[in-house]
Amino acid sequence: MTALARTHPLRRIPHAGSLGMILLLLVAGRLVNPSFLSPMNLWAVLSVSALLAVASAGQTLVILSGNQGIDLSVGAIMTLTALMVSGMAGSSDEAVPLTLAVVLALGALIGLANGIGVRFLALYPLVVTLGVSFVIEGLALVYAQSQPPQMPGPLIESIGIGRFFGIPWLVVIGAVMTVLMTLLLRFTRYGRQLYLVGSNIRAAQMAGVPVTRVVLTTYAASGLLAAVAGVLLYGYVASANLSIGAPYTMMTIAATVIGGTALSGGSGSFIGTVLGAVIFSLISNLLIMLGLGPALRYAISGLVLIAVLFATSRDAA
Amino acid sequence: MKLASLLAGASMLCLAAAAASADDLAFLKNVDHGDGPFKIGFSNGFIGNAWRAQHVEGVEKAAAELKEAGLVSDVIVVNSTSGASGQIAQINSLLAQGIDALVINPVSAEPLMPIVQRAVDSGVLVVVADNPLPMDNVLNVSLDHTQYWGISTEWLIDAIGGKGNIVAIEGLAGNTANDWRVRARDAVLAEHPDVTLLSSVIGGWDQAQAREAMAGLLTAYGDQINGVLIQEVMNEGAIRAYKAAGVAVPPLTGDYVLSYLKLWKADPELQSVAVANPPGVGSDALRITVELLSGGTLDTEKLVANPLNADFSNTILIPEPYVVEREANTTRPWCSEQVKCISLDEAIALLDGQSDAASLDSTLTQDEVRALYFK
Repeated sequence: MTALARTHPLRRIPHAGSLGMILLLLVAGRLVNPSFLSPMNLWAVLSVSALLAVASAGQTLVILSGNQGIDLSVGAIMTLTALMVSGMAGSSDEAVPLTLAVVLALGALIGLANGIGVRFLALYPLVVTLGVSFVIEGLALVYAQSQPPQMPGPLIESIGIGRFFGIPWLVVIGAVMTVLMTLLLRFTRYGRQLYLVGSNIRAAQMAGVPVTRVVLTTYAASGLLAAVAGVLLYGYVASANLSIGAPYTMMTIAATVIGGTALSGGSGSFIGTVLGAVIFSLISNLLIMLGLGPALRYAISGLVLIAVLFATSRDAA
Repeated sequence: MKLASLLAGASMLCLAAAAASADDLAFLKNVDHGDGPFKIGFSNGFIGNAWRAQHVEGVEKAAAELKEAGLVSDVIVVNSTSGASGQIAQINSLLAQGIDALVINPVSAEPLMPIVQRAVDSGVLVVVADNPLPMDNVLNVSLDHTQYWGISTEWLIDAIGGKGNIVAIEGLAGNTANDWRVRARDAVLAEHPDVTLLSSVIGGWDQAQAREAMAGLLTAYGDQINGVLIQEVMNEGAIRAYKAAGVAVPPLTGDYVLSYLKLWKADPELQSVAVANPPGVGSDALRITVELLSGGTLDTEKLVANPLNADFSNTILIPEPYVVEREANTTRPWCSEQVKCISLDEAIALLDGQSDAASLDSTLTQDEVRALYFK
């Protein structure tokens, strides 16, 4: 980075690239269709963004932890969670608290298994989490066959389409998650240690950072957060099947990286990921509105994503 | 002139007869595997949803009955969870086990054709269930997707009063069944110039994607949308987009799984239809295979053009068994003995005691297979 770039006024605004891109997409959307900026559409886009942001929370932690950290089991955990909530809680609210406790604990356990593979078996995170995702897919298949999905009860139903003082519940939950994650990363000891481990694991170790604990916590948290996202996804669509979470593995990585978190670890923020999720959702909303054919839409969304990455994450690279 | 045309007509008839004679049909050259009992492999290309699970269950149930009857010695069922490469590997292993016939639901056409060709070359009878292959030396047993979206489209046009605007949410572009359905839709729409298709988007047979797509369509077209034409799995997602936006749901084509039928029943305002696309086609394909191996003579008049290559006449189309409306309407032009027009309550009763994910299904017995498709 040149001195000029560093002192450029725009560079002093955090997330200038992402915010600029969002502004650009909003203007483009308004030009395509005046109702793009209607509250109805903005809430719809924000709901999708919130779902993706929560799904990406764990991914952000894992990528921040560096050392090739990546979690390819996010989608599989979301699928298993959605199926289990559907199968266990059924159409009533009574069993929801117990079900939530079970699925969140299971998510954390799966994440812990990922962490153990990464830290103690010294395997590449890509390999460990991919392997674990296959195991979970198998479990999900067995589970779905023994306990077929059912329709959700009123509580889950309202997560998906209900509102809280006019704001969709998904958006409320996404906002709370953003505050909690930001507090976690900025103001807790774990947060500071995570950035140290992500930047330079040896230096962190020498400085007395409990590296093993940080890595295990990070992967366990990722599993737990993926389970939370699975519950929200089930609320969003009201039915579950074996491929429901699959698209989210890649989408969470994209949202995290678009949001400016370096794939090399140690640098980035959750706010960035949230903005990445918003950009991702705006692009798909805009392309649907343009009414383009599917082939062109895939190609354009790929190109736009590359352009967005170019605009938002050049510093990290 | 008259004589000439008569002669021409007669020669055409002869040609047609010749073309239809069983000896010429390339896919029948591997039917002779002795007296049985026969060993059959069933290769299913994808096992990610409830429809496929039911599809495989149907095959396993038919296999157990056929074994009991002494017609088959074994039906080896394999499911690929790793796409085309996994399915190719599994077919290789089935061939190594010395099967007499292979029933396959290919995950996609192009990558599977070489291995299917190898199976045919090694003397195995190949019957393709559900997703057809554009080859002349296999027998395709497919569901009638022209009916699936043709009837759905006709119903929707009628529901919006014969004129207005509709939007469509498709499955996956490039998928055989989806493209076939889109052709059927467009053929129906071509006959109704007063109905405009505002936009057709991809929902990937994924509820979340469908909800997002529907929310986008709602923003783009708002109350211009008089009806929603949407394929299975995604319907609840689209309805949720309407509910989240606080907009009344217009006539919308539905799904044939119990959860959707219940949701439809619980909402008296919802105008919908469900054309069943039964997973039982796998069981039907297995039974047709066994009938062929047992020396049955295929009624070649029942064969239709291959949906992917009209030059080959090697496809049996299994009709969609049920069209569900809130109140049964048997005066509809599509109702017949094979396409039964039933009410929502009747449909729910058919699925009584099954899980919410169960699809309306229909399977043929061995006698029905013989009566319908064999001489």
